[in-house]
Amino acid sequence: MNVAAGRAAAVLIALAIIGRSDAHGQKPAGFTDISSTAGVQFHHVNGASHDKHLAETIGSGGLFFDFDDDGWIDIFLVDGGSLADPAIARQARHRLFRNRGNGTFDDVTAASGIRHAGYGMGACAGDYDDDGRVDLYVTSVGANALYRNTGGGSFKDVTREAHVAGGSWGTGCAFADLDKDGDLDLFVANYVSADAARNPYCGNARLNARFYCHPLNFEPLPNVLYRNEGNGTFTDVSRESGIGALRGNGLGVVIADYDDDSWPDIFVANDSVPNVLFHRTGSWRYEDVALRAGVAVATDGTARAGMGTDAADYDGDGRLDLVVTNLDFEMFSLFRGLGDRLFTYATPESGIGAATLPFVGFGAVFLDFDNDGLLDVAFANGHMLDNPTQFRAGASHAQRKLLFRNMGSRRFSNVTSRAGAGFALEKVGRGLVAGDIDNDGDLDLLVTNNGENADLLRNDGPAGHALVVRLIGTRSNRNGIGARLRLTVAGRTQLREVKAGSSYLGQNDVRQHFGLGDGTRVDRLEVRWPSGRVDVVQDLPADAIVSVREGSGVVDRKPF
Amino acid sequence: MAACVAVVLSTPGAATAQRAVFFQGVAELAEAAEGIYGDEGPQVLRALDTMSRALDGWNRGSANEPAPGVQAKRGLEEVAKGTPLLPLAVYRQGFDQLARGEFRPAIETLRRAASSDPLVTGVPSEARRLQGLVYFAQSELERSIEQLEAAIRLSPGDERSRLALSRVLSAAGRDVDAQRVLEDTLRVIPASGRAHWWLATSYEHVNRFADARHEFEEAAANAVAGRSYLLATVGRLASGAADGAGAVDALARAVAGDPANPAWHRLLAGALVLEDRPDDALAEFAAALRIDPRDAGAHFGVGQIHLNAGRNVDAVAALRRATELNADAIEAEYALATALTRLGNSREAARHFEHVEQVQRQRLADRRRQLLLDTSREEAAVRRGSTAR
Repeated sequence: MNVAAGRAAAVLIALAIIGRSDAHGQKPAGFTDISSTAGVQFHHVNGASHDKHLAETIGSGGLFFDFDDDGWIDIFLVDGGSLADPAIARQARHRLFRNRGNGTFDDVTAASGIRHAGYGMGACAGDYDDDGRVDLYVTSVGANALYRNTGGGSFKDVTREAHVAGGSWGTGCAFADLDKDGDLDLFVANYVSADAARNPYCGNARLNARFYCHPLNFEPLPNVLYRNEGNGTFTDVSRESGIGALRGNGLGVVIADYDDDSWPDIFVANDSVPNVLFHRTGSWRYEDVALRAGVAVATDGTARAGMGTDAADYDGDGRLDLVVTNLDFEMFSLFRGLGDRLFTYATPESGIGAATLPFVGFGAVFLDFDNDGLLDVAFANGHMLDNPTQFRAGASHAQRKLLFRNMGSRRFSNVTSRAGAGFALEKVGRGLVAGDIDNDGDLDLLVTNNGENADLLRNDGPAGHALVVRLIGTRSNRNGIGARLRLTVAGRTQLREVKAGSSYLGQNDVRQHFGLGDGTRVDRLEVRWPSGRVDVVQDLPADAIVSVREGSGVVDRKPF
Repeated sequence: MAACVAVVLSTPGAATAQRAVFFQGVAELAEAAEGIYGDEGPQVLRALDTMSRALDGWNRGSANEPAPGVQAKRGLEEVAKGTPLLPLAVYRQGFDQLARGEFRPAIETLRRAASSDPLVTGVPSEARRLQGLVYFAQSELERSIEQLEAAIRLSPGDERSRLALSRVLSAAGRDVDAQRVLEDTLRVIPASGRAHWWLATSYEHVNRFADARHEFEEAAANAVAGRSYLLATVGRLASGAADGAGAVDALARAVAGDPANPAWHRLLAGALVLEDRPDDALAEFAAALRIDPRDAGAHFGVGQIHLNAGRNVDAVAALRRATELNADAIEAEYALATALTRLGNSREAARHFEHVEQVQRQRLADRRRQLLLDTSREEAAVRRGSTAR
């Protein structure tokens, strides 16, 4: 090497070192919007009208799921529609994108049989008929739809025969095996009763300033719980379960076993009324324990505008915690699990309080974006009002996303400004889900935006080692929804629970991602299946996607 | 009356009483200089006379009194209780001298200022301003605006007319014009603390929070006393902009400016909680309680910090006190119920949770009712508009 080349190499090494660390010695995140280059081109039709129908600003969501079971997660995006103009409504089209495994996606909607109807809101996916193919449920203003995955990229609308149409205003939904009989049941949150033909005028007529109405202008709705009968049909058990007795303005849903009694519980983020936490008290019996558990309201005893939600053990104490996005000037709510079915409002202590004050939050995801073994949290934001400056000067309809890095000791640090160009995009964010689209061991993000293009954010940041776990249920449901995983590396244990529905109107990749930091081998991986069976794998090499079959342990390993 | 004053002046130890009379004179001067009714010119001169006489008696008092600067600060903060003391620019120099404890020179400066004040001299622009105020009182806003604009044309440096015009424009729903007048005022009279204050309020009214915060800071810098009210607003706006450190800074200055007011300690404590500085917050709540042991908000704050830290027994004690002092505070009752639950006292907790739920339901019902009323009103306005067209 000559002198010039030596100097150039030294500069490059220095640049590389600088590039890997910021002023605080932390790794930058670096999310890049690849939606165009990846072929995920989707413009959400919100049907925004002078009538200001509330639905126009609420949707819509999207999800990651591997519908063709090829090991590469695909994308489903829910489109809105129009309640005011049938011509605009006809432009709306849900979209299914197949991951080709090379960084690009194919729009396979036309061949899929998935059709748009009503005004689309959210979606969740689960193999309800246990045929090995993941099915799709789409919520809407009006009737919801269940699409059975028939293989070969085709779906069949089986809503009517499955008896899951609902018919009011479905929002968040989630599949879970609530009775542990091996098949997936379905929970659907409903928002409000809003008759498009009798849309109220909210705002200031004198100033000709019309706004989207506050949800309290409308009657709240009960949520719906469907029991899977195991024969392709569901039964609405809302009434007998106690679920239907409560009315709320439900949006985000997450089903998780918050008290670790091995039975799934249901949390619903309610807009402007107290959140509910349905705790299982017996066979198909639930009781709302949110207020006593400390997750119904904020620390001042009053309800916030709950939008999106997620559940995870962010502080590594073995207990599930909850996060809920809220309106601006409310701060987002972080509820830290204390055990004994209690939570504490941890927003101030966490560092996400003041930083979230100016934002109207929707999507919420716990994820370990930098693979350091600690769960971080990301939010998608965007104002409810499309004319917020008329309401509050300085307010912005489009808002940037937020990324908080877990610093340990129950503290987060706002790293949004270092999260790459993808996070700097200011849009009217709604849904936000995480998954490893390129199977490289770090988590990427899908963001849905109201009336705008969706963003597919590839995680390009340098990261530590990782392990991605795909579950294959045998006695339990096929994708292990509801399974609880405990992974131990270097003496530290991380907890995950497999969920089919969370955040805001969406669903993450059901494969479980663990950041391992410097760890190159996993000491122990324990899977507690919904069936009650516990599988334990010892001394597992890192940096791979492993498939764990119930009762068999690791049956496949694909290195990143 | 004259006899009473003579008695006060000649009584041994009358310095304290004279100091009170002196600052009463300052308060009267500040109020009269507002010139809201138009006949305050003589009151300005009378207030100055009162201050002079009181100062004579005060100077014969004890030599053991605190330094003039200290007394000035105390006295002026008393005058500013409830509203910041932002004298018109014409009197500003005199008030600054007062604040430094230079009482005698201050009175001379204030007399000179009064001799050129349109309120006292009654120059032609003053007649227009008064007419504008009369029209304003009669809700004839357009006529009021005309008169006040005329007053400003006659006397461009007349701060009162400019401030009055902004107020009338604001009352007429012309917020942007009102802001423009205040901005013009600051170009002509940069030391108009009141223009900064009103502009800040106006900006906040239309949610220009960053601009409002800047103007509140400017107003605070121009306030002779009562600066803490303005700094507390700066703190609130900083909080709303996710600037926790800025909020703490502003509220710490509010506390420093008026440490005897428990409200500033409580607000600072709240900002410190948001910054996850519970120990510092606890110290501020404790300071508030030393001043006012019956401050329910401070007891709640203490209880909340103990609750967050898992010190549930301490939390219950503080939260019980908070609910005893303010039975309507459901935030304290909710926290109390939470603390009791954590201590295993589920029976008492249930009673409190039930009450919290009742209040929540009632508040939601009230909110719904109000929203529906608002909607009905606006829909009626839309219908009237459609009919008119």
